[in-house]
Amino acid sequence: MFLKKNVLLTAVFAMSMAPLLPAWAGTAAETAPHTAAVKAMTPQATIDSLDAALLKAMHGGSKIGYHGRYAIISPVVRQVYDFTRIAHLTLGDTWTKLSSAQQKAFVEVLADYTAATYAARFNNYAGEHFAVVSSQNMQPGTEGVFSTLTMHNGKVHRFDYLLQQQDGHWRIVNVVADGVSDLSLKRAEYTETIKSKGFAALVAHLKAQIAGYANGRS
Amino acid sequence: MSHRGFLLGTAFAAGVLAISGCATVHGPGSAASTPSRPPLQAFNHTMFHLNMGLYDYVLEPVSTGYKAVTPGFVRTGVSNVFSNVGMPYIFINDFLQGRVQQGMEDMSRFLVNSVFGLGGLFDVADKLDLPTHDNSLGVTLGVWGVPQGPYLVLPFYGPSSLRSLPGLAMVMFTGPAYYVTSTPAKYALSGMGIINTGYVDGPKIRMVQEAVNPYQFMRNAWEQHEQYLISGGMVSKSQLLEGLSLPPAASPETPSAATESSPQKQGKH
Repeated sequence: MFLKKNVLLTAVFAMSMAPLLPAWAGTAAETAPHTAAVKAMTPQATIDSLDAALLKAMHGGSKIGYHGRYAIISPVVRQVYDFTRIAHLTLGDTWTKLSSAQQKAFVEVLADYTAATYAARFNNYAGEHFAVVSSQNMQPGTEGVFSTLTMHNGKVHRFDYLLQQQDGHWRIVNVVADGVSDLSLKRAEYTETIKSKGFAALVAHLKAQIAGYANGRS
Repeated sequence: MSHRGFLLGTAFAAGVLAISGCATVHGPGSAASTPSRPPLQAFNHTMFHLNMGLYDYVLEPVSTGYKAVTPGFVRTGVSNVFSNVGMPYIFINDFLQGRVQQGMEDMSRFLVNSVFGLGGLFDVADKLDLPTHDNSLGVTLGVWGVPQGPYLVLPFYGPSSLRSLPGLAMVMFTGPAYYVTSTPAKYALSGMGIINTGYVDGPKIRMVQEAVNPYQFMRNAWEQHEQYLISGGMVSKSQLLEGLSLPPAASPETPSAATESSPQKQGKH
């Protein structure tokens, strides 16, 4: 039936993971530093801290439930992602037209949506393995961290993180999962939604989705 | 890769081509009678919603029933079998692209699971470090330099492109259903394939439905991933940094809204 092609399946998988997928961790991530101790982290350490939180949530699985996983993931996600930068890059012109209150509200919703999506989808552990392959300076102030996620069935997914330095901290501004850019997806979706339905509708949709995750509807 | 739905996909392919042709022959002179959405985009949107409706009202309920009446190991076995019978399509395209190592891995995976996994019922290859890969004839044609052409959403099938259409036929000829002579067996095989699809793909389809703009989400992700496979799983530095540039100033109509064609998407980069 539709979606039959593995190509598509991976695309869907990749994009679903992109906003959330921290990949790499494995045993290395098990010993990654906790967020409380991660000041002035290197780009790789930033990814490791996210992976550690995700693995912890995955191991908790259904025992700790969605809210337990969210409690683990949310503070880390808010620390390692630069949501203000992401919001600006995603909305482009629209961003500059928003009031500061609207900008602040959108950044908060975006952060909550990302954490909620992670908590909803990283809901069990089945032997997945994360590994950082390499990192590279892409341009001044921008670092790429390249990693893989090996699923329990041996399938390998590639995750490329882009981080930028802000106030001495390296934070994620984009994830490219199996060639699918999360920033590009968001940009295409959000700008068209704003154009056709308005900014309020976009925020309402994200809030509804967050509530859906919390209520177990998704 | 399984063959589920390929018959229907093939049947509709001709219609899609006809519509695609209609879309391309519309010249500037026909602009006055052109609706707000170009014909091909309107068709794609309609097919997208048709597919999502089919999932909601047919595939998802069937999948729920399937899960209720079968134990997990049965569903896993069925899924493994359908995955295994799709492997020839994968490794033939690996070789057509000159990716010999990947082709050998996929062919080995197929042989190991067919022989030692009882026809693919058990995924023995997992234990032998033989990972699965994605591939298709559309990717092969892209590697050979064929442009993507118009983006298409095929009924009962999903996202595709003009370049990917010949793959429908190849899936058919490399799958077992084509060689089954018994009509009841052919229907049973196709029916089971559809049920398995609902079971395996359900979570991913729901992810699409949860997106802010499911159509845009699906199209963008599909096209990006197709390019990724064509490039052999490589993402260039410029591609990575592309996401960091601010989007262009808003125009009255975005390119995606203006056309379903993606002439910039070529085969090789």
